[in-house]
Amino acid sequence: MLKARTLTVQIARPVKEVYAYLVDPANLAGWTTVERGRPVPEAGPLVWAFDGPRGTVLVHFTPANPFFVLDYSLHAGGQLTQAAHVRLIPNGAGTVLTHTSVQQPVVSDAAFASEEEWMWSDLLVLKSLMEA
Amino acid sequence: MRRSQSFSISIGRPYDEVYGYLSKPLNYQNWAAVEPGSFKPLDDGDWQAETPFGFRHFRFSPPNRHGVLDHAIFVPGGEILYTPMRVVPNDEGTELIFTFFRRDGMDDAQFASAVEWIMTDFLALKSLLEARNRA
Repeated sequence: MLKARTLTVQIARPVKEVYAYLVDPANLAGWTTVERGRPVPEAGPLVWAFDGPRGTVLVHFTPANPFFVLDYSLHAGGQLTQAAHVRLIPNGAGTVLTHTSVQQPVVSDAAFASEEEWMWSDLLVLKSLMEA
Repeated sequence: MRRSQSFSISIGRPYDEVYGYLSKPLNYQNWAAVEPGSFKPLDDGDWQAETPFGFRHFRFSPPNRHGVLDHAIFVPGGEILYTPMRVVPNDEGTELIFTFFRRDGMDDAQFASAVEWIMTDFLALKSLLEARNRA
């Protein structure tokens, strides 16, 4: 089995509001380091390309669903570089976001640790953005 | 918002097998703290059982493609608070993620103690799943 890491953040906004924001791929550039993306329909119905600090990545998103599941995977240079399972959980008037990454075989321990740190800071940006 | 704590546990069995087992409510009594023989289905789709904390009803997520396996344990007619749980594939195995919410009236020490109890349940579940189907 591969190494997996789960990050959790509490967001003081209703789950439907957080989900409506995150389910739209166009909003990814609003809280991460990627630049404005564009759909790549030839690669799949929910595949978008984003230009980022490390070149262009293809992101596969999850179709809208009643479980607030927001799984995604990143492909760069034809390889799967990141697979993450994300879920929003209602918590009264707020939301718990869990983000579980699985370290892919092509990713070194150091790169995985660094990605998790980036992800954590992105999630804190998301929290601030949602709560503002 | 309630205080919450989330964990993940790696289970050395394939996702389809783990989801298949956990999505059948009948199997819940094999790993959770319910009195043997008291766990029974109700007409409305919920379940009932005697627990160390008294008589309770149980509600489970409907089957779904996302591995979502939430369950709620509640006093009939009382507030329904889910324990969110999900399984996702991890290579040849499975990652189980669960979240526990602080209950009303629980202080920090009681919350920490409850989290430890739940962790024990999930480690028992991991052992159970890994021991099943082993030749």
